[in-house]
Amino acid sequence: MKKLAIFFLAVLLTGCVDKEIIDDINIEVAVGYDLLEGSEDTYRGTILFQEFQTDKSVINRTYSGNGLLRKDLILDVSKQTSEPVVTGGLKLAIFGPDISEKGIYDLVDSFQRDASIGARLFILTAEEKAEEVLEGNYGSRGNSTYIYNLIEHNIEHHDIPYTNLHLTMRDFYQKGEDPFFPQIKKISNDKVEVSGISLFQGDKEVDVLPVEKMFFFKLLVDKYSEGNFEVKLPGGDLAAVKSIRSKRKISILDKKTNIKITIRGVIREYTGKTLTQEVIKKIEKGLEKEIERETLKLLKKFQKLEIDPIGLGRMKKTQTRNFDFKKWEDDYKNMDFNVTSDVLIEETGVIE
Amino acid sequence: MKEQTVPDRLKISPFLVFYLIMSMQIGIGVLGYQRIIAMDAGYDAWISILFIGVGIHVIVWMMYKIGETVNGDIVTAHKYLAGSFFGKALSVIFIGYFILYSLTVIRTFIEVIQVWMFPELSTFWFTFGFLLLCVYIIFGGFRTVVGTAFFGVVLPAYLLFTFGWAVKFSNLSNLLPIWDHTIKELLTASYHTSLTFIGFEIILFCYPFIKEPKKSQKWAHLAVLTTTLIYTVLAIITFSYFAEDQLQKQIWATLTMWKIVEMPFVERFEYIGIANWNLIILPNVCISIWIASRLIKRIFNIRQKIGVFFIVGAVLILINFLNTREKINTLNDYIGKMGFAFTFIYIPLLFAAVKIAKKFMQKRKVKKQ
Amino acid sequence: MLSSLFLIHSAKWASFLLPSIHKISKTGNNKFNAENDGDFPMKRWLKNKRIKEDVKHKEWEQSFIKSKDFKKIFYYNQKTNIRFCLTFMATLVDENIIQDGILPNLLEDEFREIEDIKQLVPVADVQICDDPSLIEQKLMNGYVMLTVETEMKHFGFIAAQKEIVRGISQPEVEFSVIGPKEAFVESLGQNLNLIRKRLPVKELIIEEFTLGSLSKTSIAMMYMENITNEDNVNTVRQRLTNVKFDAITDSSYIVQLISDNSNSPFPQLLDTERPDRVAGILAEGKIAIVVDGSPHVLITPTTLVEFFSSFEDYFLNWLLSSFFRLIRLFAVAFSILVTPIYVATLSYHYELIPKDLMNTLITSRREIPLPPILEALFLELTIELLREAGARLPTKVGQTIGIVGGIVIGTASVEAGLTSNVLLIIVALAALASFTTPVYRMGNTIRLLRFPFLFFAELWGLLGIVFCFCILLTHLIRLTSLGRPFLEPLYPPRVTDMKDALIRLPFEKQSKRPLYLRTKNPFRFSKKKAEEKQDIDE
Repeated sequence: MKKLAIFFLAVLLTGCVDKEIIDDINIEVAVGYDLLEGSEDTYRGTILFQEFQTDKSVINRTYSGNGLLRKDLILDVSKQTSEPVVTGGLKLAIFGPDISEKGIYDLVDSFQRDASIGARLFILTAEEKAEEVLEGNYGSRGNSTYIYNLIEHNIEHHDIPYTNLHLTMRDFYQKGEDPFFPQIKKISNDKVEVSGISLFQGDKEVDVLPVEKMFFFKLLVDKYSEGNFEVKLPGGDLAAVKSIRSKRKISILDKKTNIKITIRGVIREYTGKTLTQEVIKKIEKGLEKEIERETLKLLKKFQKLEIDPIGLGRMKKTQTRNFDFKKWEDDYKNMDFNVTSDVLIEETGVIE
Repeated sequence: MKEQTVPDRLKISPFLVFYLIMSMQIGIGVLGYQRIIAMDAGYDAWISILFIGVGIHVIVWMMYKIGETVNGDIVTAHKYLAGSFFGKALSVIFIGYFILYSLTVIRTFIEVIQVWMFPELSTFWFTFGFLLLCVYIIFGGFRTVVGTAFFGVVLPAYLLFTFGWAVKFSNLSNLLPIWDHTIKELLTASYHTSLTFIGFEIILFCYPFIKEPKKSQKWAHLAVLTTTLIYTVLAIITFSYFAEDQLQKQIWATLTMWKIVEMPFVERFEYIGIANWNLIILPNVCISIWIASRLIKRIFNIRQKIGVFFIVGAVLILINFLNTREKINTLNDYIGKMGFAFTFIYIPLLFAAVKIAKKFMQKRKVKKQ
Repeated sequence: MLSSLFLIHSAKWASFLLPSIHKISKTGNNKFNAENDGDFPMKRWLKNKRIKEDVKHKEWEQSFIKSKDFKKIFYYNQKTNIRFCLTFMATLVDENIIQDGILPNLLEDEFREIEDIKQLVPVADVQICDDPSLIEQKLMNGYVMLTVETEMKHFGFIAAQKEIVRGISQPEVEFSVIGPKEAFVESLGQNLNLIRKRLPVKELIIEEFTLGSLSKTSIAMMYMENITNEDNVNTVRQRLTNVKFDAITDSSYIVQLISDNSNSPFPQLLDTERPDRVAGILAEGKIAIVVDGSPHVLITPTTLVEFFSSFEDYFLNWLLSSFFRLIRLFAVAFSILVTPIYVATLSYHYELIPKDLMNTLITSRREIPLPPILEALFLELTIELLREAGARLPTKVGQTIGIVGGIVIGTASVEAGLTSNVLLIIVALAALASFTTPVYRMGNTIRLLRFPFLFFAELWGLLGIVFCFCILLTHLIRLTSLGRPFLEPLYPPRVTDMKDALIRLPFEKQSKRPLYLRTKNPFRFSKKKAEEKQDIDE
């Protein structure tokens, strides 16, 4: 018994590890990066902390610092915070436009290296400086939660394709596939909105897709997806279609790629008088045409930008033995695309 | 022979061999084997796992044949072949092998803890506590050791389901095209899986402790089959979850996959998983220390308790010298190679030797008569 | 209760028995001076001699005489004029038996020699022996010793024990809503009766032992001769005879004295106050130990899962009882682990906390000066204090303490900023969960187990909890009850015994007795007959 007591004492005295008691740490919940003005490689980072008040309201606190590495930023910020900074709660990383164009690989890589950061982190680009975005006051549950939930529900039910740190990193490393990020925009001090999709070549931003194209982009990128789209009928009537399930099938031949998109959807809104079977057929046809036209446009655009967010190269690789990516790059530039789509409206709501 | 009289109440039921082997096989290797096998065979490496799985079945069969022929463990087999002195001398090597094995397991586990959870964790004190627990287990006898092995398999089994979260974000087509590598590359990958797979060789050491060993053989095969399947499935999930170049950066791919797990009450799972791994590591260390101490008893006729203290002391001292990732990695490589040499080269040789010796002896008997 | 009965009793004795016999008797510590004696000198001489002999003989009386309740009274038979003497301990014998059953016959009928008592005394237990060494034991067991002056070498013993037994009441510790409401009492005979009448077969063997150099406690070991494993019976017999202790006042002493590992916090013998449970386990092939003076009967060998199964489980449908068992299992795990997990998560693993819960946890801890471990220890100890205080106080005061403690101290400590309200809920729930264990002793163990877990949670976070769990697991694997593994049927795994472990399958499926008991007759009933399939409308 005495031996046991001595053992416990010894272990307690020497075996203890550093504590991170929940209320004695500053949990980094979001981070934003911009390029320091007038500098080529130093960036300015902004870290967002949440300060919980006793009445359960949240105060957003941002701290900014400069550095060459991500740890520099934390060191810099630690000089200003009352408690040690920990990174385990990081949910959002926002990149300003200048740094996105310059390349973000080093920073994103550091997220992956840090064992305490989860794989469900969202990486976003911002239309203005990331610092500005983080300095707003959105929602009552804190900026980080607000933006995170905003992106999450748009992924689940609307037009942002699936993304998170893991998927992004996979696209980075995958030959024959390029990453993309949702882009957000601060519209007032208490609101942000999704403003498009940033297309990347490697780790550099090359273009931004506008919000209207996101539905088609998601159809191309995600294997299965949900989304909303408006169809303008020849008569001027409008119909809002929600796709419940969509499927895409891609077959890549040597010079030609066939893409078939199947959509099962419901009509949410219709401005015309009666929704007859005929009208539904028209809506289906209209949507089909629209999809074919728009996706083809997107594909041409990707080709021109020499990017491959869909991962056609990866798909081609899975079908070919001893695949040569160099040759593929040439093939891709001259690839012909053929998109067909099939829309089926299953329901039209509770009234006719 | 004197050493063969293991009383019946100390023996274990044949089906417990299943847990014994599984718990010994699944250990630290499974945390990061995907990268190593993918280095050689790319995303075809899961085929390599099946290859080695088949190979192990043959080895298991050989081990049982050896045990059956000499009716005892490896020391008996050595004595049978080389006489008492040389037989014992030959067996001494395995004391070192199992001490190193337990050392590797503990140190690698501590490394995982230090990288993922507590960078400041004192290697010495954690090892001290861990080994104290091991001593407590081993002093309970072989049945307690096997009990730990049993719970070390059954309780953490739920962890398998947690990889389901990764499936949602994986792309099975990553594996295509199947068989894009040469047989040679696949076999190299198989060779590199050995650290993950070694552990089944303990049958040669525990043989006298199994009730009706003949019956236990099917359980041994089943255990090997189960681990092979688990490894294959896990490798397939990993390969479809990571891009090939991405996987090459993951030292512990299995743990990284847990990062995606999210439950309503738990935001991140890897901490729970690593903590649970303690239960998986425990039988690994216990069984190897038990075997090493048992060998000491058999060879030097020292009480097993003293042997245990000797081994624990040795591990406790040696572990302080392993202080960098580089050294730990080297040790892992080394133990993997040793394990491979032991299981896939030495055991077939031993098998052949025992068979020849038996024939020879039978002939001599016939001549005498 | 007991003492008050005794008081009433002795008062009755003083007012009723003494006057009626005081004329012909003197208590033992007076000089013998019979009143009718003195007619002849010869007789007087004989008498003196006799007294001397008496003094010589009765060295054993020396220490008895010092006790006030030692009575030695001389009588003369009316017909034969023979002088006889009754010796007894007034506190141990029932004076009604002496007065109504012994004395009238001995005084009025023809009583010549000691052998006659077997005819004259209408008491079942009458013995005659000539070994003076038995006197002390018999007197202390409540026998009345009868000696006749003509036969000084023979002693007659007439049983006249006073049985002061509490009436049979409802079980208090193992109360069940459904099922029998009888519970054991403090009398061995009564308890044996309760068991035997539930198993009226000759195969039920009762072996008796007397243990304790001072207490001379009678202990009965019960088993079914045709079922129970011989080795187990021998082990129990061996262990009981090896017990060396002076005063065994309860069965709890036996638990600690004969268990395999006395350093374990786990009880290795199950104790119950329900006769139906004892009957049930005897039929399974276990052994029961009944201790005189204890309302708790011990059951051995036992397993861990048995401590979590209430006997009420057998009264309910198997689906319900399985569900309740699983709930109980969950409750125990919850009770042990939840506070350590709280400490581990809040001290080390903030990453685990869902972002929606973060707000609640941080705000509840915002004002607390103590680190989570001290906060948890403070609350856990408060709960333990409440429990201890509640257990020591009379029921009504105890309830008040519970309410005062629970509401006032809890709320006050949250308001004072000593503990967080989240933890208060957690600790209260854990305490509640620990009460679900059907065996009280196991509940105590669970209370204790929480503290090492807390220690390790503070040390290494979740890893520490798993580490501590490994220690606990090893301890349980190593533990045996009567040499049988304590964790059975979990380890060594016995699928056949799992039918009545974590869940309980219907009785039809339980045609076999538990495997680990290695019973002589492993079948309870014919499985074939029980499982005969019936077609629709048959």
